[in-house]
Amino acid sequence: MIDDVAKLLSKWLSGQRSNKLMSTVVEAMTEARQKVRASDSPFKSLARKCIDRAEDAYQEAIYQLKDGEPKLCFQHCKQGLKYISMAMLHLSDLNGNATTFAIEQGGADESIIDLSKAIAAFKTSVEYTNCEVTVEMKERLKESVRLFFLAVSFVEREDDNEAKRCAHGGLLYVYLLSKESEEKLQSNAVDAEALERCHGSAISRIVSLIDELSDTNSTLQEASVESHGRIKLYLDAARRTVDRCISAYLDNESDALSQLAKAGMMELRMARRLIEYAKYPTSTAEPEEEPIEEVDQPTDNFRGRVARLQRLLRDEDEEVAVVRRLGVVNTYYSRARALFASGELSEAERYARSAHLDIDFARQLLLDKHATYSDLI
Amino acid sequence: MPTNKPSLKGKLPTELKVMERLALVEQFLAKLKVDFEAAGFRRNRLVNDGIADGLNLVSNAVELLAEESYEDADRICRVAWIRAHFARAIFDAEMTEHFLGEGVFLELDDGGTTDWRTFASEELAELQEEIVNLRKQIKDRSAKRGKK
Repeated sequence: MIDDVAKLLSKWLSGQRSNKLMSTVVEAMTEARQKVRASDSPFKSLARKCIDRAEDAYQEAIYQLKDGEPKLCFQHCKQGLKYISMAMLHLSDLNGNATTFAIEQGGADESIIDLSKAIAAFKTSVEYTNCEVTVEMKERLKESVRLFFLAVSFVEREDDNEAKRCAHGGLLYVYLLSKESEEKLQSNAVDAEALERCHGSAISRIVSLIDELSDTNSTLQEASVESHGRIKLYLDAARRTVDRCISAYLDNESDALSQLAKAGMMELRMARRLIEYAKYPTSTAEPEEEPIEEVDQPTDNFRGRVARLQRLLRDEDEEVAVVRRLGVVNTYYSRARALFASGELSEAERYARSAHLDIDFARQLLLDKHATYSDLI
Repeated sequence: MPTNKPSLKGKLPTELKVMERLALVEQFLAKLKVDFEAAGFRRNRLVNDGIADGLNLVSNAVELLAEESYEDADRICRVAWIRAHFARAIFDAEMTEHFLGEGVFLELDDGGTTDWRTFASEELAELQEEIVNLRKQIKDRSAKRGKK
């Protein structure tokens, strides 16, 4: 009995509070409309929109009160008042500084903004110089845009550290792109200051590797054309290593990154020795070639796309089973291509079919949450 | 281009501060929207989505302010600013191309982040197509070998 009375009393008090607040909203809206009429602010229309939204919130408050929900009514009234405050801000002196927005120095926001500027600068340079963008370059640029959006989503999820990591990863991709086409673009899209802001030895190592790659690439012309094929093998390997370094950085695998960076430097050292030998073949002994992993281009592209997809799924906390299945697809596809190249056709078909079955399985898992091996493949 | 003013680290956002920041973002987006609509030469999806999402985020932040969740509102406001900044940067880059008169744009998208499931499914379909192509190549070569 006492509880019931207490509840009724609380509801009545709440209703009284809401009624009072509703009157305040009406008064504030009337006053705000008058101010809009008298104002010469360039953001008058925005202020008007805010007042409209305040009115919507007020209408909602009335419905809630009628439905016997004074608490919700109160909430909508408060929302209405916030919109009116926003309207007043649009009419105030604030509009003189509409392009300054305070962001934390060294924080995730700054890194993401740096990435956003780099992407736009690269796009502008490409469009300004009409530089040809290869499919591979486009893929890298797309990856950096994807990392931008991923970083933003990490800010939303209150994970600023991951947001920063993604932003730095994206920045490294744009830096690599810019370095690769620096001659044509006549500038680097990544601000030197932005790179300096990315503290940490991991990033420094990748940046050094990219710089070395770019320098070595630029000296390739000094070598005789006949030697280019041999040298390019090492340059391409180093390029792939840079990609893998950035992936390792994004996956927070510091040991792998350090090993890869070392391997990349060795590949570039070999390329430089070959260039040197090609320039002066009689003055030095022919360098003994270090073993290098030969990579089939379609396999490499396929593996790169699968790796990106796996990262996307991991970032979205998607089922581990799909990610794992894609790893298997990668192995089978690479094996099938290698066997196809060596002419072992029936084995190649066996592996290709396995890859086909598993990718179909992964698709089903992703879309339907359950999967079976198809009889039709 | 917009500028970013450094802020003091670790300070808790007050209601007024968040509201001022929200008003700035809303004004920035309003200017961008006017420019984007006036340009009229083409509608870049990243810019279009950036404006729409930015404005929605501002509304969400106002709702959070009404619930007195100032930190959450401030975080959403930061996201709105980043999205707005990117949309403006992309729009300016496209304007450069438009003024140059070439009309060949370097197309960018969000790489499936906002609709990642569709993107992942399309990507899987394309990869599957590559496997099908490889199987076809193997089959063709096997057939040739059989004829010999």
